[in-house]
Amino acid sequence: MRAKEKRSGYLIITLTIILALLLNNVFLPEWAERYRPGWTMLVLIYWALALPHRIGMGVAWFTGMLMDVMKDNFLLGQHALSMVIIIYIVLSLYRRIRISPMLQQVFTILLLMLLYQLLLWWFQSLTGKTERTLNYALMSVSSALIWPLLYFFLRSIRRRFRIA
Amino acid sequence: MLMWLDKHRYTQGVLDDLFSAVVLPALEMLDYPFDVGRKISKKFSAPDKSKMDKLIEENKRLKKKVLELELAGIENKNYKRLLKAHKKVREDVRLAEIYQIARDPDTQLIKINLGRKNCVIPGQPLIDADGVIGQVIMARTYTSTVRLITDLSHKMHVQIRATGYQTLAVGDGKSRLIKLPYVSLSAQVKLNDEVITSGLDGVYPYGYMVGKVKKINKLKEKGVQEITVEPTARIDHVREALLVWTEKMKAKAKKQTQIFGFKECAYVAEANDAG
Repeated sequence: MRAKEKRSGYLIITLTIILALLLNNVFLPEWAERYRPGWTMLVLIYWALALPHRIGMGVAWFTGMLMDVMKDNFLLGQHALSMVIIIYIVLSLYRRIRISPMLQQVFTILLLMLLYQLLLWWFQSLTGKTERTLNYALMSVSSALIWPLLYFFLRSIRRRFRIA
Repeated sequence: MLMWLDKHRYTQGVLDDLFSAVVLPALEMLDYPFDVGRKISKKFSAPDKSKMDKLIEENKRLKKKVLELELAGIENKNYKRLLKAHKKVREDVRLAEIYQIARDPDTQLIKINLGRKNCVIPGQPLIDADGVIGQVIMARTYTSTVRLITDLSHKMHVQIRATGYQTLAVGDGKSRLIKLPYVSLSAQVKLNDEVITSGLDGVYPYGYMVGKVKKINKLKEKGVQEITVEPTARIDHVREALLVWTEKMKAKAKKQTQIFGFKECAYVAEANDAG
């Protein structure tokens, strides 16, 4: 019974990750593009916080590769590597992040997303000319602001389907 | 390691398969609402959709013809003496739809729904009835990526229509403009001068509209005038555009089709029928 319960969540987790990937690729007008939260990274962070024994760097790498293939004009592996690094940090800090109050979590997410964007930016600049500016910080701000909503939404899903 | 491989394009084959298997469905799905919107608006404007498509394509072809004819007139006036042996190259075009999916705000790349299966090869120009949009930089099996002329790393060879002065044009990135950084002070350029492709870069055929001169900045100490050009094609809002095959590209595309083992693509067959 217990073993069965343990396996139950894979479909739901996969679905949320796929949904996040799609949300990351929906067309937005130019001005809104900069405020698009990093849905995939956020969902991965949530699952890594909630189920650190199941969602680890392997999943992050695989999702990152998918993201790279979807984005197409990025260097292959750059999302994968950035996500793995972020998830590594989350996995080493998850006990602290979990028990911290929401406001503090928001700031943690802000820092993590900034680091994520910084890594992406750095890998991108290896390939040649980009006009990336500090604008990438906007995306981490919107990600941090959306975090409480996403957190409660995913937690309700997790409780509903009893994923542990 | 993986990134290095990708940078040198060793991963192309694997990526192609992955792309058509995993991403293409997602892409089509994301584009679907926009596609439905397009279809609905077409339905309301005309009863027969396929007819409408054909008419749109014909309209674009005709507009292009008009552009060419207009240009030919001016050409005759200005360069009749010089153009004794000028032979007009015949190009073929095909209507491409532009995917409405997320675009990286820091590079100016778009995706179109024609790929190697449709005989697309890297280096093909994408044009609109109003002007040049960009060039194909990568062709996957069913889709390809186009770099807009305003992208920072996009360069093309242009000439000013009135005087025939030829120079290099560089994309200016975010401002959605093009710059001509190497125009000497002696060249006569006026505001609203039309800038067209010169055909010397081997990508864009001669005589397509690029844009109009918007700003002239004379840098006396450098001995150049920096000219800013505003593209005439509505690059941000374009949904459908024409992909161009020149004679050379047709031959290359034919070779590519044989290499990848696709059946002769409809496009080349059509061209052969037409003679």
